[in-house]
Amino acid sequence: MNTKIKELRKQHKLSQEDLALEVGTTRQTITSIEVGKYTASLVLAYKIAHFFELSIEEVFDFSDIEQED
Amino acid sequence: MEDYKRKLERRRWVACLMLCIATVLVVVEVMMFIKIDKDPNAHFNEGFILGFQSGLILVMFVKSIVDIFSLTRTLKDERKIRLLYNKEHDERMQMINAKCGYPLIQSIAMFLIFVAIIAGYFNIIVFYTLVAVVMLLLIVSALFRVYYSKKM
Repeated sequence: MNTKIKELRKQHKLSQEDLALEVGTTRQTITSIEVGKYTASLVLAYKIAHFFELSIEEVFDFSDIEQED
Repeated sequence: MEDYKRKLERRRWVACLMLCIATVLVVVEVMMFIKIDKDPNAHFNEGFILGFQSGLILVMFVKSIVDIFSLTRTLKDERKIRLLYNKEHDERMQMINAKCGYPLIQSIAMFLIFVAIIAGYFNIIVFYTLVAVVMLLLIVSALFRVYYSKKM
């Protein structure tokens, strides 16, 4: 799944560790989400979106899932 | 976070207790080694199992010391407490552990080692077999962990 986390992080001048600390996860998980290896749970997706003051759809790209349907 | 801080403090006390137990066990082991060393009829297997036990006690001893120092250092820094909390409650790591059956394998390995030590006094072949099974379990679990860590 594609996400805009990396761009948003750069806009806010945050490191992966800073973001991980804010949303209650580890740097490795943020890396995995950014490169699309791991799909975040709804709770974590909400926390990340909430941190950037955006909706989940604005941060995570669900077009792959919509195409599958 | 205050609850977690208290949990860490409790863990530090447990590590202190483990260190005390390990120290007593080291003394007992040394006395048993001296006894076996003086006994001309002592079998090689007795010394071998005692050596294996000593290794486990030594690991317990070193791990307790490392835990005490690392927990003391962590408890002084709020950021480190949060990092440790996040590490222990990380959903990705929990999923990897669940896929590898890590909690179950850990319990089985501990139980089998305990059984192996007792069985070793009666039959050394059972001891070797159980230790080999534990080694295999831990190696397979570690390999799965590495695989899923790379995959996810």
